Amino acid sequence: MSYRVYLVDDAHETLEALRLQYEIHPEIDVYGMADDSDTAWEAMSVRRPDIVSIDIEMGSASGFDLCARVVREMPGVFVVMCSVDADDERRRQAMRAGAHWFLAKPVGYGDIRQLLEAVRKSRSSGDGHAVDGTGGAGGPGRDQEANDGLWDL
Amino acid sequence: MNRLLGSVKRWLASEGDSSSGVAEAEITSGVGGSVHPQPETVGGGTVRVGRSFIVVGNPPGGGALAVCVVPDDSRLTVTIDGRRAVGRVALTSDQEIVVSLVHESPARRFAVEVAEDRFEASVRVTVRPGVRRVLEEAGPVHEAVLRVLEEPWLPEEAPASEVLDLLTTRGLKGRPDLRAVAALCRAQVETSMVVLRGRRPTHGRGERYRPCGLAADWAEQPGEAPWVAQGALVGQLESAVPAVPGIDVTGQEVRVFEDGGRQALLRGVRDAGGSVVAVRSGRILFTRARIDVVPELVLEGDLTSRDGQVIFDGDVAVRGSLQEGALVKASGRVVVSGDVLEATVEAGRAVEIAGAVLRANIHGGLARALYTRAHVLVIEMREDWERFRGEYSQLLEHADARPDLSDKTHLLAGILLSRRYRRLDDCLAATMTWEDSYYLRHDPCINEFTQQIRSKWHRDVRQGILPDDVDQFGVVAARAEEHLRLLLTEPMPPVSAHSISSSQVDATGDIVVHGVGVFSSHLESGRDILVEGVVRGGFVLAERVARIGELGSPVGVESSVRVNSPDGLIRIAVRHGNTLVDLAGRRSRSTSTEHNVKWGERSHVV
Repeated sequence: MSYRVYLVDDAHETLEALRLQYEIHPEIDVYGMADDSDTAWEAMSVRRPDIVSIDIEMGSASGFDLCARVVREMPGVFVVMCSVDADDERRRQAMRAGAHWFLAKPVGYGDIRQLLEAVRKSRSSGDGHAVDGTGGAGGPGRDQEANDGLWDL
Repeated sequence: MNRLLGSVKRWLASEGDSSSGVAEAEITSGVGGSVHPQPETVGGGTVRVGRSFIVVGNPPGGGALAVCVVPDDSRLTVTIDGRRAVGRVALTSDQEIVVSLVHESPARRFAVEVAEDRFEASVRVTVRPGVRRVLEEAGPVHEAVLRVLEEPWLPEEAPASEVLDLLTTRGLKGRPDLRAVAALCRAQVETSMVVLRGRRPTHGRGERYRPCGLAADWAEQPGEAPWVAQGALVGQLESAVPAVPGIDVTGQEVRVFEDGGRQALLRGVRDAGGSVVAVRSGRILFTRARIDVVPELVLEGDLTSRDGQVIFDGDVAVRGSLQEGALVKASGRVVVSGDVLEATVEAGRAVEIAGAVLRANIHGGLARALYTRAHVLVIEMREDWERFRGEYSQLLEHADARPDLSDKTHLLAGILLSRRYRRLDDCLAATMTWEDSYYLRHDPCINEFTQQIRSKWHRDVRQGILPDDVDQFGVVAARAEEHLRLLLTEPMPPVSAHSISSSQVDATGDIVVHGVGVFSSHLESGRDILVEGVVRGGFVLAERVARIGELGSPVGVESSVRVNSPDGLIRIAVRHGNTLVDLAGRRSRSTSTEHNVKWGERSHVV
């Protein structure tokens, strides 16, 4: 099974690092990247991704808005919020916006591996968009537990 | 008062005048022993105050009596004819005047401390100095005011038996260090000294090969290993050194086991009567776990995708650059003299790139990752194995009691595995993938283990497992676990480069970037990351330590660093705004430029 991934982040350097991270996994195809919400929405409307990674702070725009819009209008897309701000409030906001996962920067191999397991689990349960987990990469042990717990919901 | 007087007299006899508590008037009247000369009287009566006595002289013919002023001081008691005197009192020589001064005796206490390993016992002496009180000497005068002076009083030397008895009481045995004991007995300040030493055991070791004909310390050093020609002598067998038991300070014997045994000889070497000889030319690999001569493939010039993939069991040295689409996959080290541009390097051991890394993937230390996984697997297998063996023995006894099962016992182990020990069964199956790895496949110790599984225990062949096979498996598995443990003590292979841009780099060992820095890249290390220059954009993740010259940029390029270990360290000389530092989940985002940022306390230096 392969997954199409779209990355949204206003920092070009971060987009590049994220692309490298995702592409190390052979089942992932990063088919596009954008540094603003509008460009991302247009691209995803043309070709819908399986997974979209959205930065929270993108200049004046908020990644939460894009997240909510994708969740609302593109059911089945697995939405990942990815941010340097990873406190509990940010995670709750991401959950309220409908995000399925939360990645705290910097993102490591293990974080992407966990994310992919979550996506597979979501797909195998036939419920690709109904997961309201917001685990993350704040620290491996804590995140793993948090993610596991949330996925049990 | 008589009792006090008696004790004062006894003490006087032992201590001398300086602490006398008896007034001279009483002594001179014949009660005491020593006699002080009567002071010369001038006009009226006189009084002379000694350190612990008072001598009174009557006035010659009808003059005024001598006067003494006795302070109301808890440290001093003056009695005149049995009654305590305080204040201004007139004195005559026929009065019994007793001076009592309160002293604080010095104290010396000994305590025994036994070291955690029980090979040393120390004695700590605590000294509390005392205070000796005396009267300020005066006179002879007509009127004297008594004043109490204080002098320090140090303890006398304690008898050695006091310390030795203490050791015996604590059940400690051995020959004490009498010089230390004597020093403790004389100590005037708090002191601790080792007074008893056990005999530490001498660790033995099994037969092992030592390097020869090569520099003495190269075997454990990272970096370029010596090149040897086919037929070269690289090692010599050393005899075993037997372990010698020790004895602790409680008299208990302490035994130690012999460490390790012969290193595994990989296929690049062979034993010729105790000498290790290279059977091919290449780079030497000589550690506590294994010896090999790793073939080296030297590629002159640049390498591109047109040259095809380079996949080599050994070390690879590229004298030029790796360019667009090139792939080098080596079970050993990869050394690139130039740059790595849009290419991929996968190395079982270290990767050294003299130049820049651009839009490339670099993976170092893959063999170690393999050893780690294999070690975990063998540990799990052995845990399950212990339970399996116990249950197998029980079932075997039951089967022996049933004649109808006597010809089926060879099936028992297989049935037990597949029905009740699924994890062990899965682990056994997983070892078959080890044969895909150069290092695991050609390591004799690992190979012995996998061959045993393949021949007896694999699901496809599991038909005739006998009790001896079960026992033998335990032995071979224990050997494999120890061997893998030793392999994991070898230095972690590093990855080094001059600069890294838009690239993915991971290593089980350190990552060292000694040039301008790292740009828009992802670095992940199982140990430490050192970037002498700048990290601008991207992610840097280390297990223990991250040292960075400059993180981010003055215009706020988002950059982040994470160290996983809670006792790790992050040091950044210049940290700009919009950068994130994460030490085991403790996160900090910077909004302005900071200098000499230090997170964590680890003193390790990359």
